Amino acid sequence: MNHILRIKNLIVEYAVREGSLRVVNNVSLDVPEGKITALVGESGCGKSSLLDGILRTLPPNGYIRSNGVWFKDINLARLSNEELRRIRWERIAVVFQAAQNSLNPVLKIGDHVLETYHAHRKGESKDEILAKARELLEMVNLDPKQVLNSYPYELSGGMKQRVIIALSLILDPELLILDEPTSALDTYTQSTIIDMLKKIHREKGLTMFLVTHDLPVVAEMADYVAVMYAGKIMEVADVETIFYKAKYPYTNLLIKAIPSLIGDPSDRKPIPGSPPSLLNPPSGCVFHPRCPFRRPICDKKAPPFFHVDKSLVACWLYGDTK
Amino acid sequence: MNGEEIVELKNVTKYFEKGFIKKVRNYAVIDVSLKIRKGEIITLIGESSCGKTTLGRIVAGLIRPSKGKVLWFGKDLWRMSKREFNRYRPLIQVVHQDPYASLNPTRTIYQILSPIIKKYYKPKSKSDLLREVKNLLGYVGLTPPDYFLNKYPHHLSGGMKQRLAFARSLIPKPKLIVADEPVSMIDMSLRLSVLGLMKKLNEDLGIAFIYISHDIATARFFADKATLALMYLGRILEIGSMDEVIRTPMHPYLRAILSASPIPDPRIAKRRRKIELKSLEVPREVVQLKGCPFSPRCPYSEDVCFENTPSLKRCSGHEVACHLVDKLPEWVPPWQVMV
Ligand SMILES: Nc1ncnc2c1ncn2[C@@H]1O[C@H](COP(=O)(O)OP(=O)(O)O)[C@@H](O)[C@H]1O
Ligand SMILES: Nc1ncnc2c1ncn2[C@@H]1O[C@H](COP(=O)(O)OP(=O)(O)O)[C@@H](O)[C@H]1O
Ligand SMILES: [Mg+2]
Ligand SMILES: [Mg+2]
Repeated sequence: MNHILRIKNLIVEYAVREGSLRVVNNVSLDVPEGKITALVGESGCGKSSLLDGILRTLPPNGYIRSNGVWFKDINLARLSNEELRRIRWERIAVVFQAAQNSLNPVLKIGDHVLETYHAHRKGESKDEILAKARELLEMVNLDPKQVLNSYPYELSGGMKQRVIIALSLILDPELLILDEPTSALDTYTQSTIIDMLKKIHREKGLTMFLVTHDLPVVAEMADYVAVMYAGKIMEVADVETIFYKAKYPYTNLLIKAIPSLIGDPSDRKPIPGSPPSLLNPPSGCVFHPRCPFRRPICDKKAPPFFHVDKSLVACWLYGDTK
Repeated sequence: MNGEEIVELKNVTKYFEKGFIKKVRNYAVIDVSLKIRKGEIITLIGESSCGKTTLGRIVAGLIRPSKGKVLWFGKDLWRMSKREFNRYRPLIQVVHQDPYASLNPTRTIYQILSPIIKKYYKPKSKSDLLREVKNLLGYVGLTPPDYFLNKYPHHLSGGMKQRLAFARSLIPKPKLIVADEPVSMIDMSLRLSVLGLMKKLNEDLGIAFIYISHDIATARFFADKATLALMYLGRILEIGSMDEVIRTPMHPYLRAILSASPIPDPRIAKRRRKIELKSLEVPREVVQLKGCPFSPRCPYSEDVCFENTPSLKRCSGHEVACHLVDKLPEWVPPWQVMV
C-alpha cells in the first residue's frame, strides 16, 4: 500500500500558565493513498492539534517537534513557510473545523472563489476559473448560478459547508483533510454531506483524512481508522476491525458509548470516568485509570505497538502473548 | 394517562414580523395543540429553524403566542395574576443547548448554586446550605462534590456543564423541564451519560420533560416510552409513541430522517439505502401557510399537497398529517435490507 502522508513521532505542546501541555504525544501514523482514513477520539484529545502540527498552523503558543512529516516524498517539516503554504492549497486541501464561519461576510461566493484561486495560482482567466467553480458546485449539489451570486449569510450552514468543500477542490488537491466536517449540522444535512464526500471520493479517487469525534460518520465513510486518546494514537485498523473486533479496550468502550438508531438501548453504556488532564497525564498507559483490564505493568510503562490480528494496538494485554 | 396536565397548548400559532417597510409574517409555530402531563416525556424532533425552540419557549411562558392558548396547570397563562404566575413560573424550567453560554463564567459552582438554594430552601445555617449544595452536586453526578465546589464553569467538560445546568434547574422542584438540545454541543461519547441523568430525574423525581433535538438516535435513549413529535416548518407532522413511530414511520419526512440517522456500524451504515428528498435543505423563504409544508421537498408530493394543508389523523397507532398516507410505499427499514 502506498502512503500519501507519513507522520513520524510528532509532538505538539502548548505553553500555558501552568507549564506545558503535551496534546500530541509522539504520534506516528501512515495515511494510505486513495482511501478514506479517519482519526477518531473524544473532544479535547488532540485531533485538531495533530492537524495543526502536520500543517504548521498552530497558534503562537504552540510548539512542534517531530522526526518528519512526509507528504509523498516531500518532508513537510523541512519546507519554508512559503513552500508549505503553497503545498497546502495546491496539493493538500484542508477544511478546518467550523470553516463555514470563516467565509468573508462581505464577499460574494463568486468573488471568494476568484480570490482564493488567485492567492495560489496565476494564469487562468476569470471565465476559466468560474467554469471550474460551477462544475464543482454542481458536484456538491448546489445551483452554481444562485450560489456564486450569494453572500455567505444568504446560505444555510449545510450550504456553506458544501461551498467550502467545493472551494477546497478548486486546485485539484491530492489529499483532502476534513476536521469535523459534519458537526453542528442537522441529521439529514449531515447525511447529505457524507454522501457528497463519498461521491467525490468515488469519482475523483481523492484520498481523504477525516478527523472527528463522530463515530457514526466514521462507520459510514472510513476505510481505515486511527483511535486517539489523550494525545496518543492507541489503535489503528480497518474500519470493520475497529467496529467489530477492536483490540484496545478503550476502542470497544467508545463504540458502545455512542447512541445508535438501532439495537437494544440498554447495550449502550457511557464510559466510566473521564479523560485525564493533559497537564498531568497518568504514568504508563494513559488509559490505565479507566481501563477494566488493567494489569500491574499498565501504570508503570507505556505500551509499545503490537500487531494483533489486523490491528496495530498499543496495549499491554497483548504484550506477553508473544 | 395519569391525569394532571402541567401544560396544554391549544391551537398555538406564533409569527415574527420580518422586513421594515412591507411587513411579512414569518410563521415559527403554526396551530399546534399539545398536552404534557405529570411525569410524561415528549421529544420534539426537527431540523433547525423548524420552530422547536420557539415552541419550547411558548411552553415555558417566555414567549407569548400570536394566537391560541397556553394553559399552565389548567389555567390560562397569559390571563393569570402576577402572583399566580410567579408561583407557577419556577415549576417549569428550561435547560439550553449551549452549556458554555448559560453559566456565569466568573462564579464558582458554589456561588452559582448557593443563592438559588438560599431562596428556595431557606437553610438555617451556612453548614446547612453547604450540605444542600453538596447533596445536589452528588445527585447530578458531579462527584466528589468537594472537588467541584470551588471550580469555575470553564474547568468542566461539556457534559459536566450540562449536569450543572440541570442541578440549577432542579432547585425549585420543577414539574417540567424543557431541555432544548441539551446534548447537541457535547461530545458523542458523553451524550449517553447526560441523557441518563435526565432519565433518572424523570424516573426518580417524576419530572416531565420536553426534549428538543434533531437527532432521533439520541432521543430514543432518553426514554422508549416517550412520545415523539416530528416538527417541520412550525407544524407537527407526526406524533405517537417513540417505539411505534420508529417501527412504523408514516410521514415521508420522518422516513427520510430515519433513513439518514446515525448508526455506528459500518456494514449497515455503508450499505443502507437513504430516502432522497427533492431538495437537500429546509427552504429559507418565509413560511407559507398554503399546502403541506413539506410538499416542495417530498419525493411523493401530488397537486393536492400544494393546495391543502393536511391535518393530523389517526393512522397505524399514531397521528400523521399527510394526504398520501394510504398511497405511500410500505416501510422497509433501510437498515434491515442486508442483515
Ligand atoms: N492554543 C492553545 N493553548 C492551550 N491549550 C490548547 C490550545 N488549543 C487547544 N488546547 C487544548 O489542547 C487540547 C487538545 O485540543 P484539540 O486539538 O482542539 O482537541 P480535539 O480537536 O481533539 O477536540 C485540549 O485540551 C485543548 O483545550
Ligand atoms: N426572536 C425572533 N425574531 C424573529 N424571528 C425568529 C425569532 N426566533 C425565531 N425566529 C424564527 O422562527 C423560526 C423558528 O425558529 P426556532 O424556533 O429557533 O427553530 P429551531 O429551534 O427549530 O431551530 C425561524 O425561521 C427563525 O428565524
Ligand atoms: Mg477539534
Ligand atoms: Mg433551536
